[in-house]
Amino acid sequence: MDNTIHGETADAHLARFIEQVGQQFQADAIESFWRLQGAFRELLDSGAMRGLLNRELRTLLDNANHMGDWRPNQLMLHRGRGHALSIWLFEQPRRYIHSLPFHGMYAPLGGHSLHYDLYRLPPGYRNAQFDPTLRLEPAGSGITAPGGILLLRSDEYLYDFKIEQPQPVAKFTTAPYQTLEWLFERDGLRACQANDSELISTQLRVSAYVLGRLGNPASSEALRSLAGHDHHAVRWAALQNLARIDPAAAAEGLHTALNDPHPHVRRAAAGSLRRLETTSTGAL
Amino acid sequence: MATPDPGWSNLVIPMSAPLRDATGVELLDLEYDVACVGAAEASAAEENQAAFFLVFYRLPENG
Repeated sequence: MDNTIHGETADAHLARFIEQVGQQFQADAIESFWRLQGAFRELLDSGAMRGLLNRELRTLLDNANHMGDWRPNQLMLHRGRGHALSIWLFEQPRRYIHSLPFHGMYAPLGGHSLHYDLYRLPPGYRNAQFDPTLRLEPAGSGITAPGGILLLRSDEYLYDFKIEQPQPVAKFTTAPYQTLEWLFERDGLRACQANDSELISTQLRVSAYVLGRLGNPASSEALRSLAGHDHHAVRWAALQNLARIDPAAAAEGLHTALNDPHPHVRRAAAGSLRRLETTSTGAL
Repeated sequence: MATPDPGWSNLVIPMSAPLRDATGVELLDLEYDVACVGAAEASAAEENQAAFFLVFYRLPENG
């Protein structure tokens, strides 16, 4: 298949896009992501998305051993420091309305528009401090027509996509910059759950849990180190499991946690100290 | 609000694991659990997770 587009290959367009990202985007300055709308527009207008997808499909057809870089429902086109580019197939509506832990630019591919309902994050929302009393505020609906780009401002809004038929979308996103991904119920729009936004956070909490259950004193140092992690739930999981194997070290950690930046950790530490002081086993 | 399943409640510790130190103590849970990536249903984060996970581990300069 010929992937030549306007005299240049799809790869060349992608390479130019990647170069522009490298020049204009700083992964540790998340707002710099918005400078890239022009580069994304140029990539879309070049037809490179079609060329890259066609070539990938052709390769799959010709080579039974080719795995490609496929994820569920998406083809990864590029990964870089703090950003990723993919073609995504929207197929099924979600049970919950999800906050996004990353910023994004979505562009519908093919002939159908992208329809969505918009919700404003409620006053008092702090991503890392889950609060089930908060409710979303409806903020209207939107349509992004073929050729358009939807800018997903995840620090202000949630986007609930309406899916009437499978919809391919070009998706350019940052890496997660928020600690948590919140889920809201459709009935009542109330916050009902918070998930880790990064797999590594889940893995570290599971690791702390396993070390605590195994109960080997040699794990104390690792858990003490983990108690200084950026993610509040990782810090607390480390302390909980440190207490299972090294109560003296946990006591020190609990007193430190009374001044933790996260209120849930401070309250759990204070409550744990109160409880331990009143029990015979808690000689902290 | 239902407490979310933290996602590892079915974790099995091998029988060969050493017994826990009997002097250990239990601390309270946080007032709201944080669930694992993708708990309840595939998450927005999960869509990109594999991509960034691979970047993180394959390319040290992207840490």
